[in-house]
Amino acid sequence: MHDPPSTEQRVLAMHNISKDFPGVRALDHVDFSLHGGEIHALVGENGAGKSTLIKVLTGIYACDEGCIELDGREVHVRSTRQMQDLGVACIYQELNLIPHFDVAQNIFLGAEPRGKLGLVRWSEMYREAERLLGTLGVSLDLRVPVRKLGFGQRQMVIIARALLHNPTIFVLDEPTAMLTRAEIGYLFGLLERLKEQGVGILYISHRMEEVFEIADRVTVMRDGKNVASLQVAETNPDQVISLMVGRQLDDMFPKTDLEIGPQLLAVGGMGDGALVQDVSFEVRAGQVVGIYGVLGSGTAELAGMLAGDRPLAAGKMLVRGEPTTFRSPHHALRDGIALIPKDRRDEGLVLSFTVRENMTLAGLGRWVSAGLIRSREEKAVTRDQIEALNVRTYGAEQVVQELSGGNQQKVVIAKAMLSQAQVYVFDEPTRGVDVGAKIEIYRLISRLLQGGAGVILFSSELPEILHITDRVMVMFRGRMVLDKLTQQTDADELLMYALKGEASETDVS
Amino acid sequence: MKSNENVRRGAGDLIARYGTLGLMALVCLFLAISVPAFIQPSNLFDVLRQVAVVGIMACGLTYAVAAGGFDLSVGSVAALSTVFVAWLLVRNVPVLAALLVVLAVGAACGWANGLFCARLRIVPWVGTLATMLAVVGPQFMLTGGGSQIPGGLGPKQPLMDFLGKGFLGPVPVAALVMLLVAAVAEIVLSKTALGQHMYAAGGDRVAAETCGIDSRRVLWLAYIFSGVLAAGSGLLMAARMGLGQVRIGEPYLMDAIAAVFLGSTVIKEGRPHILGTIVGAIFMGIMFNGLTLLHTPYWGFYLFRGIMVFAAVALSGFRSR
Amino acid sequence: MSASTTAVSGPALSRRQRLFIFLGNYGTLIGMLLVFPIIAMLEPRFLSTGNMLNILRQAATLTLVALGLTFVLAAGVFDISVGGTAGLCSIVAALILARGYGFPLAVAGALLTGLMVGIINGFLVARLHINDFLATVAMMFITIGMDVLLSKGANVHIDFEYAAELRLLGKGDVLGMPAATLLLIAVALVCHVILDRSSLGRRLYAIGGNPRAAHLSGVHVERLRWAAFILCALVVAVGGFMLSARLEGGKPRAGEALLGDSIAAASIGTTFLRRGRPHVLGTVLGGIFLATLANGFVFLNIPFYYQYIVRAFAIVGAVAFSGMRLQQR
Repeated sequence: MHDPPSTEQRVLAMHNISKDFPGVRALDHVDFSLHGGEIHALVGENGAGKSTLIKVLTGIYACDEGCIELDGREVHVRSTRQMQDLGVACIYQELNLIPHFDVAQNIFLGAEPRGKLGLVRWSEMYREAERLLGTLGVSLDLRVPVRKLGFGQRQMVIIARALLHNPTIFVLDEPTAMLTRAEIGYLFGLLERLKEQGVGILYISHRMEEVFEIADRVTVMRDGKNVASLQVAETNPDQVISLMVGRQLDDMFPKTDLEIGPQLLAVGGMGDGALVQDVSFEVRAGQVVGIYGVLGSGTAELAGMLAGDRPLAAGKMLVRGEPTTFRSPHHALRDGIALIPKDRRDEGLVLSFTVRENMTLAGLGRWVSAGLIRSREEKAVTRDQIEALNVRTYGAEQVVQELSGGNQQKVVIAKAMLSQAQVYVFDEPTRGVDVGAKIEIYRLISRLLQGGAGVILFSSELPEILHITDRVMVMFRGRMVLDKLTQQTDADELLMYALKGEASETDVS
Repeated sequence: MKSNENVRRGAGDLIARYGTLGLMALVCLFLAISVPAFIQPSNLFDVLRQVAVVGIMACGLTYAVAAGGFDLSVGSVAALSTVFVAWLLVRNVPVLAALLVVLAVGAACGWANGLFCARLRIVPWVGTLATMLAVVGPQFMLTGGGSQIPGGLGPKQPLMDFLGKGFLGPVPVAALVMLLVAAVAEIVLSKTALGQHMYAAGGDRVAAETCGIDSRRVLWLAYIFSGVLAAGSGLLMAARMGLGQVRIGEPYLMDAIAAVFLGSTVIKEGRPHILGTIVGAIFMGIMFNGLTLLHTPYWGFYLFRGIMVFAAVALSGFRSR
Repeated sequence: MSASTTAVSGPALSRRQRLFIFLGNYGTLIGMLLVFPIIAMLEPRFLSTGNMLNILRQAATLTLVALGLTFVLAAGVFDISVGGTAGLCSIVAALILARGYGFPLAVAGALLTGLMVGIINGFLVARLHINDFLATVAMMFITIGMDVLLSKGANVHIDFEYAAELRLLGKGDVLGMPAATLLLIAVALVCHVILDRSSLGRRLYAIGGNPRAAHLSGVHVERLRWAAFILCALVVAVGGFMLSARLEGGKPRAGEALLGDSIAAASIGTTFLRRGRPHVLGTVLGGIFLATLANGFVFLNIPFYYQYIVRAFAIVGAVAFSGMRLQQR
């Protein structure tokens, strides 16, 4: 371990932290420490355990094993409130603001200066808010409702609220994902000042250039483990990226050489007028097309458009050579395009439904005559599918809510298969499932390909993209900035394009 | 970082804030021209007196809605308090004691709503609907199955008469009571930390809780306030009618809903607030007065109530769950 | 439960878990069945065949309205106007019969009235996205207004020379069973087939369970919400007709009391067998249970108004216990 020079200034130490979720070990004996006056970056791919670690730290989750020390004293975390009182402040990706409250009201929410009878001392509150924003160097109209503010301004309101309690530990979870360049520069200036005041800053990001711009130390997480904690000065982006990416997936994904078949889907000049612009590509039978991009790059919106969930403002689509338009997912399914959504529980499944009811929902019309479901056939089909996909369940009549993440995902895939789709749009198919289920899902994808289907894979996991896809595209700010055969590219190049939209000078040489 | 101060003063914003008020002014103008009796001061004060009941009830509902709940039981609770206060007064319970007991019963009804909706997390519409139905039982229990408490409010009750039918100069006492209640309610909702937390819990429960606000407790309190104010409006109702009558309050529920949602479109757009609620209640009162002066039959009021709720809800942009 | 034990298939359930599941499925039914011996002990005449049939007859109206409600609940929405709609349909049917236009036209009139209400509710909730509770509360008052408008606030008397069928439905027997009960069974069967056997029903449940997932699975959420409100109002219209038959005419605002009863019946139903899912068999049992209680109360000389409290407790208890969607996350 690369240990700090002295333990006196260590404001946070997490020892041996483990956390299990049904079917997944999210944190596996993680050690982590943070010093006062230090910016410590925490990097790793999605699902590596970064968010879980900070949720343990802020008291949202209780850890199953391990202990947390603040300023050298062990604390037993009971609530978020307790951790706030102990000086842990956290800025989450979703900004928790009351939309119709103004800036000052939001800053002081839950901590209003009170006078007699619980009356709020408004003038004091506005004065204090003014002062606080002044120390942050921010000028905001205190009386504007926050719903009228931009994202960067809202984030400043959240930061001001967090600093109200003079935290000793300040956690930021991917704070720059939605910020403009200028706003990022502004935020970094602020973090530098806090650092000078001795605040320990835990900065979560997957943007290498930011980490190397601002952090003093970097901890890399992968598969719920702390892979390495390094001094930034002693490492370089390449080393960090290779630590993040880690293991090889070659043996996980049984790549059989398939004949690339006829074109199944082609899109040209597709855009939604805002977040996606001028996207063109095609998918052929037996082919996996990977689409990679960071949060906010337009990948989520593109997936929605392909599935008929978001309207097209521009461009055209061809399904097996025929022009078509989707007004709803119904039409996409009719044309044989099925989405396996990112969020299983919110978008993929009716949790109160049984395995059978979920599996047959999208293709229900196949087993209906005169409006009635031919239930014997439905049951037989479901049984076959459970067996074929190796879904671990008590039976077709088990409620899907009770299944583990990987098995739920298989039910969602089975649903798409039973709708007789020919193009499968996978949106982060392996997020939150364990390694075993991951391999099974890859095998399923492989089987779909052998059956003559085409796959579009949206993923933020580079190994997945690199080892499964035949062709890979990178999105940056709504545009396709890279389109290559997967064999001809590598993780560094994809990451570079995803983060910057172009290759850096060093890369060109 | 510049704020968009000038956008806030845009014309669209003006319409959003004052459009409903303008609409109300037009209606008043129409009534004043078509029914001369409408603008007689005595008639206007009478409108205010009639508005008092709905106004107080709607203030209570404002709390429940502001905190992210709803309260369908307000009309029923008001009816219960008319019956209960009459029952107590007929039994020679001192007036002040009777009033306090009835308000406490209102608080208990609100507490039950809080239990169902804040603690058991039943959808407010269903939880408070259960209370709305349940309190019909005690009403009949008190009347022994009849529709009224025999004997009115018992022996002569100067205080009740003063509240329900009295005047201070030209101004009806009931209207003053409403204004007083509204003033207190306004201070609590918009000037205290508790009121802030209610709005916060109603605006975004998760956000409120990350700031350490106990949203369950806050919502529970809002239901209790709603229950107390509903009981208060029932007391005024009993004082005005001089009797306690079973199920008398139910139509007022619609008026209160309309008042709150109309009110939420006034001045501070988008959220329920007491001033708006009172304006909405007065508007409903004027409309009813106008309908009466125009000799609208009894069923017309039901249709009108339904349509007003549609209109108010649509105007306020209060959308599906 | 530790995380490592989940995800694996087939670990044997402990005896306690099994008991819990059994109680979850059948607890309500057992509770219902216990009511019979208790009332019968206090008043033996309660158990006579005549009274049992009477209970079934009394259950018909409220259960029909509750069946309507089952459709909207299945689709994850709510309809507070069911009571008002039943009353309005009842008045319409009674007026048509009173004018001597005959039984078929009366049925058609009631159904058409229901259809209109359903379409308007669907328009407001599915198309305009107005909150379902508020829209239907307003609709309740509109139906009451129409009810009073049409009846002019007075009872509608029917000359039974022209409407023998109505009397048969209200009081008569067919093949030894109350005609009302046979009608209920027929309607319940149709509802059951729609909700449980048809693709329409499956999709209604899907939008009730997770509208977003249903939408992404190609289900037309908006269209199905319309369908739910229309089906609901049509079945409620049958209930309204039944109400006319029971009253042998029309009584202004007679439908309102059905609101609480039907909500209670449907929510009791969700605690039976399929926890948290409204379904036809459960609703029918809930309706019969409420009718039994009402009947038993009469036998035991308990004043009618206690039923208001019982009903409210039934609703709250059932919703809290079944974890139905009427509970927030």
